[in-house]
Amino acid sequence: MPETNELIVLFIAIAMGAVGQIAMKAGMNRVKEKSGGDLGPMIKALPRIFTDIYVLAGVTIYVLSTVLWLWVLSKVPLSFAYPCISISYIIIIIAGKWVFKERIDKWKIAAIVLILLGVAALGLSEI
Amino acid sequence: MASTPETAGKTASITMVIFIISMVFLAGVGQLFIKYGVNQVTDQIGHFPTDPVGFIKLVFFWPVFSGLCIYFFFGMAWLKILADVPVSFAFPFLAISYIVIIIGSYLFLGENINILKLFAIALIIMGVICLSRSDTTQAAT
Repeated sequence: MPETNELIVLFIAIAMGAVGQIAMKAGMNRVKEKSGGDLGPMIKALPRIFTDIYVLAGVTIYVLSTVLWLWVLSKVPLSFAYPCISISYIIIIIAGKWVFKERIDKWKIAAIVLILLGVAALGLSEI
Repeated sequence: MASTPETAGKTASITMVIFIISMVFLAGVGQLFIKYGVNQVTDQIGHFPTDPVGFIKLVFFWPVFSGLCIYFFFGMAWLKILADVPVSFAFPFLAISYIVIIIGSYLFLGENINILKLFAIALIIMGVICLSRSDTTQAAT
């Protein structure tokens, strides 16, 4: 069992990864809306994308979470870290539903269950 | 179009699904490049370089640098994807990078593969198939 401080960093990394995705999504929704519903060519959209505060915050939080992950993975066994990643799928589903009013249908629930089982199997494979 | 729970759902186009899968595949390839480069350098000097000069050399070592460039490209594509589809639809596709990493690290990095990993791959593939059939209607903002 990992130490308490390792667990804390692990969960901070997971939470930050999810928050980063949500912020990037919120930012990209806003940029798209400002562009009249169509981003147009990515190259031309880049100045608009990288001046959006949500996108910038999301990317920064996401990069920081990756750095924390690298530290966690050097301390905690993969067999423990993999199943913990499952939490991020759950956070994203809930955030999608509550923040962005996304639809969670049977297919999406089946997909998440299968992927979570897959990630759990990956964890077991490292024991 | 305002979306209410009663309106019929819409699934993602096959083009979008293929685009997301290709980009996540690319992210996995980027990670393999980075891992390959870090392994090479770590083997050569006996430890992970923590001094500034060693670290900068590592970043600019061609496999690591290529991996980072690939990853940067993926990042741009990911923002485009998030603009177009729900995040609860896009995010689970990232599990495909595990498949790329398992197979790639077996083929190129000499890591082992076992029946549980193959089982995990099968489950993730089935998950992604279900995901691609799910409702991608986005609420009007």
